[in-house]
Amino acid sequence: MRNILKGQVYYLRKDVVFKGICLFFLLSGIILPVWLGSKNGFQMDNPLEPLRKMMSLSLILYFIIPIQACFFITEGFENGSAANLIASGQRRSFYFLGKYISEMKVIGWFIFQFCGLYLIVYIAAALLTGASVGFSRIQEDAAAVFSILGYNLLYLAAYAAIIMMAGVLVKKTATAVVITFVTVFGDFLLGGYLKDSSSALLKGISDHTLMTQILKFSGMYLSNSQIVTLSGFHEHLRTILIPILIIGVCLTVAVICFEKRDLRV
Amino acid sequence: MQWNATVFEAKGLTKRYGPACALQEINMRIRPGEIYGCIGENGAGKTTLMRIIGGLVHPTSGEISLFGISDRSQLHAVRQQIGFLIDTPGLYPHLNAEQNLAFYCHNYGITDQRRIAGVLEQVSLSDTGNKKVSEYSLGMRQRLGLAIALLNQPQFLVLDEPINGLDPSGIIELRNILEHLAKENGVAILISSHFLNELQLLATTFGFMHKGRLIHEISARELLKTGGTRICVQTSDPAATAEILKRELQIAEISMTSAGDVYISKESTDMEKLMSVLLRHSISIQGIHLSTPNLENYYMDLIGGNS
Repeated sequence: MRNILKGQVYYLRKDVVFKGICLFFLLSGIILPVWLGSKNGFQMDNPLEPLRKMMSLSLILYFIIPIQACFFITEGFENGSAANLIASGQRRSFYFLGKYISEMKVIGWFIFQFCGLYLIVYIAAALLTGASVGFSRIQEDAAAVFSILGYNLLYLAAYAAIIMMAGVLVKKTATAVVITFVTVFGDFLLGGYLKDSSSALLKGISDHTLMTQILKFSGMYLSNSQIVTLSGFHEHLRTILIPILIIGVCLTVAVICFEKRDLRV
Repeated sequence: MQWNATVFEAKGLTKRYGPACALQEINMRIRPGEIYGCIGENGAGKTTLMRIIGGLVHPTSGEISLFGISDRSQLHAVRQQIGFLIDTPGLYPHLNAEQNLAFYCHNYGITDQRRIAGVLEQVSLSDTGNKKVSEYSLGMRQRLGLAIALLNQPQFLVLDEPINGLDPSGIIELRNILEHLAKENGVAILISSHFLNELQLLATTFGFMHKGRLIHEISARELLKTGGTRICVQTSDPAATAEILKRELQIAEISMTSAGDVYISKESTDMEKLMSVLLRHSISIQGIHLSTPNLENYYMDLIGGNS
């Protein structure tokens, strides 16, 4: 497994898709804080306040990272390296799980890059412009920021699990891309359109979609013109369990199917 | 390693895709240092057999053993001693040769960077520099695919039509590499190819596959004993030539290939009589030569291709 992880790190360092997304986050991590901060003179109640306010922008991660995961899981089948590695003694389950663990590292890196760079540039701009930086409500903002970051990591992991399961089943990038779009936008639409449904079943589905939870913990979920956030232990527990369940089911299905099926190059 | 140890063994190996049978009851054995040439038409089952060895395809029934291990849960470990070149090589077009090999080195746990230079030199790709694989010719891609197969210093090489796309010097180099590996390092090689003349120069054992079955096996030594030297005559009218020779020289057995070559056993006549008959009947001779027992004729006889 260690060797597969090393191999995937090497691949990602040379991967055009990965490098392109890094560049995108680099540029947005520089431009966005400058643009948004200049509107209020880079004033902040505490050093984490800019990060808390920009958490809604993290929604963009859910449109970029699943696509990257899709390309990442299917590249081995398209280029033939998966067959080479498996024929040379790598276990199929280790190959898939190695890919998934590597994708988790990628997700962590993108979140760190996007949010970390945003915060660093914002604070640097504040210091350069001499804007006031307070320390009020820093604990509250820290709790909010880190919980949202943690949830983002978990939910992106869930999306990655779905996409990578699909990728390992279809093994074709073109088909997997279509499935990715259907998954992401379908989840979005299900959460939005069924939200106000009179059917209890449909409303229940809407309440449990990934995007509904994402909007809730990001503070963007509107119900009856009011922002609804997570409150109470049970809501937080449900928010954690949904992606964990999805990850467990998808990884299990992917490994079982990948082990059993023939690998036709 | 014991001289009678087996690198690969198949017992009753069968693979079905629905009603179609890609492999039927294959029994095969390959020993260390053996170069096993697998011959058969397209769809005979050669690639399916190789994919089963590589664990890419699961057999429907039967079993295989690699280096004496037949337990499926342990086969992946012994596959680390096998080098594969099946179908198209698994190459990244946006990377150069060194980078492609470095990727596999990381995955195989090879830390010695000299290994990359070593295999590139073995396959004559040392001077490709920063050229991306997308700019490679087919022959260069095949060589790089072979380099990947050799990276782990395998004890068993499985090569599916590795000669495809190679120029004549590349074919000779490949033959030299494989012969050296087999003779000096005791590497067993399973190779399939449609270039029967080339395969005959290389392999020590031949297995003939037809419609999923292994119909015959023969060693190179036995192949040479199967038939005497024959005279091959190429004329503009092979059918008429065969008729004339049968009538004038009382030759009972004359065979003719689909390409129009007429073969006569050298014991049944001599060259002078043959030439005089052909000249007397004004047969236009396009070529005439002696033919030693060869794989192509043996294969065609085996599957009934000769008239």
